[in-house]
Amino acid sequence: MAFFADANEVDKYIGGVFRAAADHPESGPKFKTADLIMKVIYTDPDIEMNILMRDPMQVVAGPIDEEADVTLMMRADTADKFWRGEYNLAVGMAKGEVKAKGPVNKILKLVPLTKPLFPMYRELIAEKDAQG
Amino acid sequence: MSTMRAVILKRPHEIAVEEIELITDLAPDEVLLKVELSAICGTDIHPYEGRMEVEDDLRLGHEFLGTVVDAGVGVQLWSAGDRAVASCVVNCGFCHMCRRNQPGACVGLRIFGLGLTTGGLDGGQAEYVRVPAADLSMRRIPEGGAGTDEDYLMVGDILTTGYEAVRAHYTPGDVVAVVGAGPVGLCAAMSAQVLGASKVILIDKIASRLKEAEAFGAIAVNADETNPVDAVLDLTEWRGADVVVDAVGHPSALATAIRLPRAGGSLAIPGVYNEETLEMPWGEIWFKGIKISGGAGNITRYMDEALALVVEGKLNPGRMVSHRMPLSEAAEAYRMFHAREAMKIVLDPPADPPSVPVPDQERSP
Ligand SMILES: [Zn+2]
Ligand SMILES: [Zn+2]
Repeated sequence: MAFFADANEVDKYIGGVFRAAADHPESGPKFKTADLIMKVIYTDPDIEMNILMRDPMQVVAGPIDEEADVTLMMRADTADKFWRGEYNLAVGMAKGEVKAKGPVNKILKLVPLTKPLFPMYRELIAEKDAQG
Repeated sequence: MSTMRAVILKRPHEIAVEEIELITDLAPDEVLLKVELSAICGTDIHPYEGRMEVEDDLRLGHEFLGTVVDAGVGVQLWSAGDRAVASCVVNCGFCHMCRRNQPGACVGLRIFGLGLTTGGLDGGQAEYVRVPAADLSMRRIPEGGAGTDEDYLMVGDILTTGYEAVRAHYTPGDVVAVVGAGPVGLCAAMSAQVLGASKVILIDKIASRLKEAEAFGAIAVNADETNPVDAVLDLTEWRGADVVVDAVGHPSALATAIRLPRAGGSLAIPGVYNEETLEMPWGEIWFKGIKISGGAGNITRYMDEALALVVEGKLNPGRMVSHRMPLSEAAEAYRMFHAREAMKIVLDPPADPPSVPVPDQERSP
């Protein structure tokens, strides 16, 4: 069974951690200078999200008019594991669980910025974990 | 709790040697290697300087050699006591690119000690290191070969990187020009010699490094004294070099290197570039039909060739090692390497007293 009940939950928690990232003292400013639009197509539940890494940083649930620089596709469960710090992106890409289109180097460069956000995500998700 | 020492990059320019928990949770494909030598590489300087974005508290090191102490249940080729060198690049072995023998382009590529960007493998500048996909990633260090441990150590990265830069686009008798007489450049130049290049030209600005190049028969060009483009043209009847290697990874080096290949020649770029875009003389590149290659090295593809030449004493990259220091002096080693006070530094973890407490009955005879 999928971890997230519906698209709204993906937006709330996964979208939420990206929104919180903008205000993180170390990672936030670096995300904002990336000058990059990342589209992520989550499946099960299905939702497309667009993360506009600029100042101000924007996280949009659903399609946008601008074209993305990089597009990722993964199960929403995979995103949950990633943000908990339990998922190796390189291994995931090798297995084909995560697919990427566009200049992937731009995204990989940003991956280290996500590590300081893992505790934030765990806090965010704690309430859902508690619902069991 | 058993512990081990490891070199940690706390944040840019700040190296610490810390006691951390010993690795005990081996996956089925992994081995635990007791590190006997681990080198500092030019690539380590990218996160050290902050030029490459990495997470804090990063365990550094991707060039190492040691003895297997434990192996996961799925490991077939290795058992405790085997001595091995690991490829700095771990490839998956089964993706589209791996199956076309391009492990450096593996979609799941992981590199030791360079952080989450490259798969988050902990580094080997430590007493112990975990090596995944061990059957694919490691090579045995033969007993009785002509190589020294310092020579074998380099097979996992810089020797094979320099070797591939020449070998991948090379025809016997070619003129090979190498920009940058650092460790990778020297490895490329010595590989070109062994492969039978008609001329090997090495370009740098540091006299001592050029002297090293001359010692094994390369033609040294000091870019401070001579225009390197003119020098290479003069040495090739104004044709240009067949194979050019940019072993620096800085836009100024690339600006020189891109003008050195002959029409139809090639430029291999083992130097690391993080720049998003650079200005290039595109008309010249197109007109000459220059083949350009870069990206992570195809280490597991070429390391057997490089290793064989080390075993027979034909390649001896260990001669570049200028300093051998205990792991505990890693901070000083990084400072020296960064300041270019050392050509190549290897860290020697067994030189420090072991950090795992020895049980009493073993201590007294
Ligand atoms: Zn290296
Ligand atoms: Zn692969």
